[in-house]
Amino acid sequence: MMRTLLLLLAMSMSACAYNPLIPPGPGDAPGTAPAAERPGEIGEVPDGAASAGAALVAAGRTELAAGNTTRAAASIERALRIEPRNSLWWTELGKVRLAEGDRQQALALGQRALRLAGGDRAAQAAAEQLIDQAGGR
Amino acid sequence: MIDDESDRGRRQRQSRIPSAVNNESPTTFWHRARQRVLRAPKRSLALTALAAVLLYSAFLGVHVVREFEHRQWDVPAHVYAAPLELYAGLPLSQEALVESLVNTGHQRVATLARPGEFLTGSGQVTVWTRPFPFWDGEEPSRRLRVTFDRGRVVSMADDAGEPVTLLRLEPMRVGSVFKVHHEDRILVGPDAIPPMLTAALKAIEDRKFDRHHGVDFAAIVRAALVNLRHGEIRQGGSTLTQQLVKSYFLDGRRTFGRKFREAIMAVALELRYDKTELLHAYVNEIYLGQQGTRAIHGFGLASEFYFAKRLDELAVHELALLVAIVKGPSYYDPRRQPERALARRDWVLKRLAELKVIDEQTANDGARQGLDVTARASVALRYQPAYRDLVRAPLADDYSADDLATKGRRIFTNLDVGIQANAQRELTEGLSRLSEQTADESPLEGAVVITRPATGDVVALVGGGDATFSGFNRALDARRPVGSLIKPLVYLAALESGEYNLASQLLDEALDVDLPNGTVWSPQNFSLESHGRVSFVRALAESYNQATVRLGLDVGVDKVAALFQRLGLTTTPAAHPSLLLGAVGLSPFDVAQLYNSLANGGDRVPLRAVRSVTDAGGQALTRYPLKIMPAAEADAVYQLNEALVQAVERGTGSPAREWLPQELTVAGKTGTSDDYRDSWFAGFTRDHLTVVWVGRDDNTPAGLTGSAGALKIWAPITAGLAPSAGFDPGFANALKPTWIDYESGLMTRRGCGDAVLLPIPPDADLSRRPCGVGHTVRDWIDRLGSRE
Repeated sequence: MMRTLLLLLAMSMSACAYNPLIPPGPGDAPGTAPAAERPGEIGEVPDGAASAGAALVAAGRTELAAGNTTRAAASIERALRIEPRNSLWWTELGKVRLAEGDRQQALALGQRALRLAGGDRAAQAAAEQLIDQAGGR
Repeated sequence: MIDDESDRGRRQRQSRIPSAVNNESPTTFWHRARQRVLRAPKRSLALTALAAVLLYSAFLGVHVVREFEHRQWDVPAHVYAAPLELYAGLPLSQEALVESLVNTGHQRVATLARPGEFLTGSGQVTVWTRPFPFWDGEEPSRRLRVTFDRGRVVSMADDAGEPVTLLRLEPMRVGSVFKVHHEDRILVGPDAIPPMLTAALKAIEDRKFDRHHGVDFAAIVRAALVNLRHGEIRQGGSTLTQQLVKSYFLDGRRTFGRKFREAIMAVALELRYDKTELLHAYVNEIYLGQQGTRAIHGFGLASEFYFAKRLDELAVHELALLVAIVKGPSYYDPRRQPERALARRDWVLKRLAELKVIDEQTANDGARQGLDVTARASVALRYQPAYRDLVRAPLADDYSADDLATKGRRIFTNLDVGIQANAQRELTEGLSRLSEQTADESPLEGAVVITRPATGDVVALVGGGDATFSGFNRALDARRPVGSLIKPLVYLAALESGEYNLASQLLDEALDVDLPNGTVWSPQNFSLESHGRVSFVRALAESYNQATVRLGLDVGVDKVAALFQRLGLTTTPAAHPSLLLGAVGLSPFDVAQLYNSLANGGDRVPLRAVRSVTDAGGQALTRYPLKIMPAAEADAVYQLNEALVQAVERGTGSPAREWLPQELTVAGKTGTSDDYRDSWFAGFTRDHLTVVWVGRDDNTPAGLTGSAGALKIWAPITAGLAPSAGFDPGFANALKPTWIDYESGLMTRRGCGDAVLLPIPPDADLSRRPCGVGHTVRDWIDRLGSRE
């Protein structure tokens, strides 16, 4: 009986271990690799996901500027597979859809980007601008 | 035909008689006439036979030319797995990269000499990649060094030591779309055929190829003499063209009739096509081996099959082996008959030197090499029948079956080979473990679907315990009652109504529901007990039936039913009260689509197996772009997912924690259908959603709840997906983190009783709960044994 009680107490304490609602710290800004932020993982590894994503998005922008929306989207989708929580990349994909005339997708992508932006003002502003351009407000 | 001939004979006779009358004596005339009449049927017969042969030859000619034209295009679409994207920080071990390189046909060497090779050192891999035409452009060939530390890529640098940001590896070819089953082919273009191969084929198989017209009579005589001298079949008299014909019609009988037909057809092909076209067809057609029931045709596939290399990457001794095998792929099988194969390869090398195709030195060097075939048939041939079913579905809308089977398309998919292999292994092993616990009138079966929620990529799909079985695909086609797996939809409808939040108090008490057919439905809890007033979060986490039915009836069954389409399914189930407890048949893939929208924070992303299709030259034909649609209210989904996290932390999913790393947060839900026929678990981390179903094909009870069955397969699969990040709900600015008593839903403070921090709308009307140690222990004991 005593063992059961101890077990129960231990369980009730461990239940508090998960806490998703503690506000994100400064290192948690979107645009960095979430995988490297989590506790128990190696911290000294260079944050290559962010630069890999950024390189792909930069390539996507170049394609978009040249009018190759299909290639632009393909490149940004690659970035999103590497960093699915990066608000800015979702906004970038939304810009491509907007250029293709797909306001509905642009709006949906902008809203998703806004949700993922959290407290990141720059990401918020980018998402809001996209939403505005897509006629969302 | 014969009648025509006779008529013609008669006409000839009639026309000649008058002239005879004019020039000859009556006696001679009648004598000759009688002789003519007697000879005429013989001549008529000869003419008849000649005409028949000509017509038959013409028929054979048309037949073989048609076959040739048909085969020219008969190149199946190739299916590729998702490419590996390498960057610093990627969780990937050195062994995993090496496996990936081997799977894509890279060779481990001591010194890098050409693209397609890699070498390994302590904590590092240096690779020289091949160029690869992706749908969005060609990935160039690159040389770079990748270093690892504790299961991660730490850096990537080129030869000059400059850091490389990103490398997309060539994807693994996982299969082809065939018209004819068990037949595979990798088309080699005319330019990709190594000159040495054509020279060697001509030298060994058909020395007069460039001069003959399909048949080489001298060769037949020479071959007979050679074979006689050696007492075994060393040479065949067939030309390459005849061998090509033979391969088309797969007739192994050594009869004169067959030889004759082959010869006629060979001549017909020679009349119609030039030597380059014929040689190209030969290289892609000839039979070179067998893997179970699959025939290995063509040098492109044989190269991969025996050496796990592309044809243009083979060394002289390897090409010589393939040429040696042509004579008898089974007799000279290098895996089963290595000595025989080696002897013939060395003979081929010697002969090539004699005929000056290669020089003496090259031949000697080649003969010193081993056979160098891979131990097993290349893994690139690995069979993925379940996933391939999923690949076919979207393509069927855009391409005809004939297009896919014959035009050499390239299909780029989202399949993750490592995850697929792991899921298959866990399912097979898990089913065999579970079978030991259950009575086995019929075998226990199962299915797994794994997606990447954000992009909707289906990364793995397992259709049953037997990986090689390509029949009933349970992941796509088994529609089984989902049981409590439906409950998140009931709770989502409630949260969306704005009338409820995670701290709302629900009543878990017996109830009678009057059904339209006049009967009364009295749902029971799994434990057969009721729990009185319980928190919203606990009712879902512990899967209480009575609380759920009361909630669903209050919100409206139609609202719950409507969520099916909103979250991504094509049909809406009947809004019958029993829907609230999951009396609706869904496939594991359907469940994955529903839960994917939840894992995605309420955005619906159509699940995709295929990213893009290109033609044989790499030109993009179709892309299946990422599309998202807001499907459910984001804050409601945010709250719901927190409850699903609690279902694994404290509720019916808690046995999963035994397998999962402590820091890995997951959200998930169990499901059990009536009489334990179906055992389900659906759950997600940040990066992956996994759905597992376990049951029996004949729908007899499996005797397993969701947590006793499917969960025990789901948990090790999910643990194996690590180091993926745990579930991360993202941000919900409109909700306020609040300490709630898990048991009752009353507001409390940290550390008091069974307090849990939950996102609650700021305007929620919460009552406060007094705090004392006694509550904590008593509450836990009360809850024991009352779970599903």
